[in-house]
Amino acid sequence: MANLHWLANPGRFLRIAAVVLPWLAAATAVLLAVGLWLALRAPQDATQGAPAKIMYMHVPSAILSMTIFGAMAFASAIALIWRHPLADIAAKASAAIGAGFTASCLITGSLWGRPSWGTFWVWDARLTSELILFFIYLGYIAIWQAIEDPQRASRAAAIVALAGSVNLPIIHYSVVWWNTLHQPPGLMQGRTDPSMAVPLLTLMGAFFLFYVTLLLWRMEREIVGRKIRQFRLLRAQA
Amino acid sequence: MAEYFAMGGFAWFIWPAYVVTLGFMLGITVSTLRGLKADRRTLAELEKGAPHRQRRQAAAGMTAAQADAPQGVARDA
Amino acid sequence: MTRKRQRLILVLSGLAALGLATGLTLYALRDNLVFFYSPTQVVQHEVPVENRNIRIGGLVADGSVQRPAANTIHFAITDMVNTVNVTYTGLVPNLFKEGQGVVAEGRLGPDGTFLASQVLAKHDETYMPKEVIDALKASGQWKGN
Repeated sequence: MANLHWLANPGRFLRIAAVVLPWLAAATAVLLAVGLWLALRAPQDATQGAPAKIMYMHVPSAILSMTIFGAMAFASAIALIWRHPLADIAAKASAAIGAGFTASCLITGSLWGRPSWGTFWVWDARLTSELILFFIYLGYIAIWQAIEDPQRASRAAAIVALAGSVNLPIIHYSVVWWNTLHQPPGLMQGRTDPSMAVPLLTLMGAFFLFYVTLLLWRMEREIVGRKIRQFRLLRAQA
Repeated sequence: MAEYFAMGGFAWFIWPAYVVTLGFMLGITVSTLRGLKADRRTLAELEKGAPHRQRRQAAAGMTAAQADAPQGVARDA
Repeated sequence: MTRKRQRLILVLSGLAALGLATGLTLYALRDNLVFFYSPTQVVQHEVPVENRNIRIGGLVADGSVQRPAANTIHFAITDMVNTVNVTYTGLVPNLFKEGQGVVAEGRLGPDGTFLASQVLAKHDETYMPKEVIDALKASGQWKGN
């Protein structure tokens, strides 16, 4: 736990973040530009035609929507058990990013579904469980908004994040456990040709770097916000 | 070029998907950085007028709000 | 036992209980969570079909598509074991093709023909440009259809 303790200091965190952030932001911008360039000039899919291009936004959004919630659940467990203040801040700072990628996943999927399946939406297990993930994100954010005291809000939100993480394996395996309209994952099974898999993997990397960069900025903002709150409380007492 | 943007008649499905995703990423980045800038300024103003003791209390209080951390972590280490 | 260890055990047992409860619920609901039934399930009466809307999924059988009138389409859904004949009035999605995946929603008529009210295309997980598929077919390594 020595490592956790070393990172527990918000001042040290801010100093490290200040050094790392310019590099992270630059790497995100470069990888995103390269990924988009590769995606837009990738060949057309033989059966689906042009709408398959939507996958370059849809798949990274979908993966991030789940990865971020997983990270929030992990950070929440650390915050609940070890009362690690930065873990708590990391979970809170992640929520809006994850909720946005979930919405993006649902909207882009819908835009793909209309021309490909013939419908914007069906209530199959994959689509429904991803929609539930979106509502869990909203619930998590609402708890932070509704409870004034950060300590109490942190515990309630952490429990929601941990309970909500049960949904993650359901989303992932829904296409395997039950027959759904949504197709099973094909990226790792060699069913996606490199000419499309390479742009897709590049964009996944770019989206992940984007998450880390934005997370550090949002954590810094949360730390500054909590200091402001403490100052105002001290002023009120004085 | 125009043919490429027409996307074989699917332009109205494909480009909105890119706009939604990239628009969200840009929007949340701008709002985060703007908020961060404003909060940093507010904090700097609060710190300027405050005595040294209060400044240390505010920094410590931020973590002390978490009952037994970071001392609790240290005990286990 | 420290308080941290107590909290750790509490969180882990809470998650285990929740996971178990969810698992049991999903197991109990498993028949309702499938989006469609296979032709075999329908033909062998494993599905309650009387006066109920159901969905049947499979491949559009090769050579089965007929268009007797404008907007009316007859085709057969197969899972390579059993086949259900379908009649549908309306536009089919672009991906609708013989040999492609399809999900039809509707009712089973008394003569065993399925009267579809909606037809959806089901795509598989293959993403390949046409040139690659042609090359794979030429070299005999293509596994799809």
